[in-house]
Amino acid sequence: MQNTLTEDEERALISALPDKVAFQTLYRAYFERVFGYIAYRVGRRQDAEDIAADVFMRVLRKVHTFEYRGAGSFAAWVFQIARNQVAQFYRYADRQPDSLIPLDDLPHMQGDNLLPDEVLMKKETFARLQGAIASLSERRQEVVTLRFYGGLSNQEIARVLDLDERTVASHLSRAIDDLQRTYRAKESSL
Amino acid sequence: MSDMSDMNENHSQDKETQQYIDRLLAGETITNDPLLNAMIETRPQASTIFQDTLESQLLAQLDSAEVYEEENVSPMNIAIDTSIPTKQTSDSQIKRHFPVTLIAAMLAIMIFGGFLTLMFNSGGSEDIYLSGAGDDIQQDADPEALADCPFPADSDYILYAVVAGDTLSSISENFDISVGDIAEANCFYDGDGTRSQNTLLLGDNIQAGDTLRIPVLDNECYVQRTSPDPLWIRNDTRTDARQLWQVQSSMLVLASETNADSNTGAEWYYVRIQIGRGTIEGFVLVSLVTEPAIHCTANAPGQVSNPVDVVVATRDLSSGTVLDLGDVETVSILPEQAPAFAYCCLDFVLGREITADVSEGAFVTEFELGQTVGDTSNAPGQIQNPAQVVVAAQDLAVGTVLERGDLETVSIMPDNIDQPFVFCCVDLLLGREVIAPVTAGAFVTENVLGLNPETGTINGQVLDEPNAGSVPDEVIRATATQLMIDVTETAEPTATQTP
Repeated sequence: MQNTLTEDEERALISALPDKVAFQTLYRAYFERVFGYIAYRVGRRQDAEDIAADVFMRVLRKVHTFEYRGAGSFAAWVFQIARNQVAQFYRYADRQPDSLIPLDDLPHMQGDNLLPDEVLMKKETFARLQGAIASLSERRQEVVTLRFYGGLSNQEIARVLDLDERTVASHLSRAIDDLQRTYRAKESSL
Repeated sequence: MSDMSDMNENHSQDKETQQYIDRLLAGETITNDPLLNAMIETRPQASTIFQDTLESQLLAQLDSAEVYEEENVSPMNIAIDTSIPTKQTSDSQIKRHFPVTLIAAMLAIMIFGGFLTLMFNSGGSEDIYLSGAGDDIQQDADPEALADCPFPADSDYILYAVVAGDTLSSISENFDISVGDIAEANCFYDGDGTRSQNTLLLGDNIQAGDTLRIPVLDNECYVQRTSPDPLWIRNDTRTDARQLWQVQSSMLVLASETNADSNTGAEWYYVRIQIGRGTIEGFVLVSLVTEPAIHCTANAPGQVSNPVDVVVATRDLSSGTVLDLGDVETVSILPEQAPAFAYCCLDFVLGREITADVSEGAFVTEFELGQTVGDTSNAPGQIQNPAQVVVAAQDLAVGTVLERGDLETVSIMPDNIDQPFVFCCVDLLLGREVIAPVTAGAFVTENVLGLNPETGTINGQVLDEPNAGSVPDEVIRATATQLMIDVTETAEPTATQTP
């Protein structure tokens, strides 16, 4: 989940671009997190894959414009692109987040060798959790998904959303409280 | 107090949140908290097939060099000539839209019909416009961008950076070559007329700042001013002919030997200069005189080639003088004019004692410094073998502004120098920007460096590849007073293109 690259490693890789190995390493370090974030934001696996492909293509094409501004700046930059692409996905297609997505269309979940019914249960949980997150304000949805599925630090989230770091922490804290209440209520109603 | 209390509360809240999240991410409380359990268990994961496929596609894009888009040129730029007027372009005038099919169709027309109207200017009706980087599009060319496009080793070319307003036909006209030649040199299409997989710069991605390889025909060379005196293009090969244009320093001038005329023993070159989007054609008189005013090589201005720097005496020096700053200086000359055992930079001679009288302007070579040439042949820093060559002391990333610790010199026989445009002195590279990655131990050549901000040109190369197409020295020397040129055709300069 966490980016396994150190700050120095990441900086060296960025400066080595367009070296293939450097890009490959960065891609592998970020893919899972970016995809996780996108998948939670859009829900459908196919959409998430399309957007993720778009995001990394943009990263590739725009990376020469990236200016390193300290630890976390690259992660923030990548997720800013991801966030923009998600926003564009909803804006241009005039879409609304789906409240009901067929389970087959949901993204795969982590976990190896799961039985079919376990996979099904996971997907149901995902759908419930996504519903709970969707009940948060837009800003808190962003903060929660960037934090939990993008694996960003508060500082990085602050950069992506152009907020103060303390504001992010506050949003996060309250979002978790809200989520706890909502999710428990949903659980108990089952 | 209230503020302080809020702050403490916030701080405490932040800390709690952080701890909570850390636990969550570590999965420590999965069994106790349904929410955390759900979040961790349901983290979306792309299929391995998708992840791998996307990775392959991205790396393939990287291979094809079709990666950098729009506003900026590649980080690996090398300037070839900043003197050519560039069209100022504002963002509002520019938009980028390149229908691939339209480009392909037009290519087909150009290739098979010779119809040269692929427009990129903002005045055309076609919906094909150049994108630009705002107001400062320079003549930067990126040799790396053409790395995958093979080019005959024995052929010459210059690198041209596309500017807003260029069209393929205008470029081909300016350089007096066919669009087909440009297309071929840049892997625009394969021999069967289909678009090449190696298409890098033309086609659906052409934009201001992209690099084109412009083949240099056998009968052409490029004239570069080295004298501060003006050169004039005239309308015919008579000394009283009307002067058309004053050649600016480093202005790119195409000269054709085959069209050279002679008048009372003087050599005239038929030349063509690009002025903005127009060209001026005429004649430049070059005759046999002592001071070189122009030199003509197969290399365009800004390309790393001649001249090299050589140490000469600034005054008459008598034997026994210990050389100090002020006694010597470097001058730029063609490599073939450099005497044996000359030095390329002052560092190697300062503090040494000369053993023979040296007159002002004469080369200070190892002969004058007491070297027994027969024994050692060459001392460090000599232009002749072995040469001191600058290499990277460590891996150098793109964007590195070179400092002393980044570089070191090694002594190497010229035969072992497998790259052109290497440098002999660290000093010549300090402060310059690396525009392509250099691994430790590799030569730091002009090809990996940006434009020299001080001179606007290049200098200090130790060795050079022969200039195919160079004309003999005696033919290309001239002085300003003897430069009398004529006109066959005029392109009116604009107000912003002051000669």
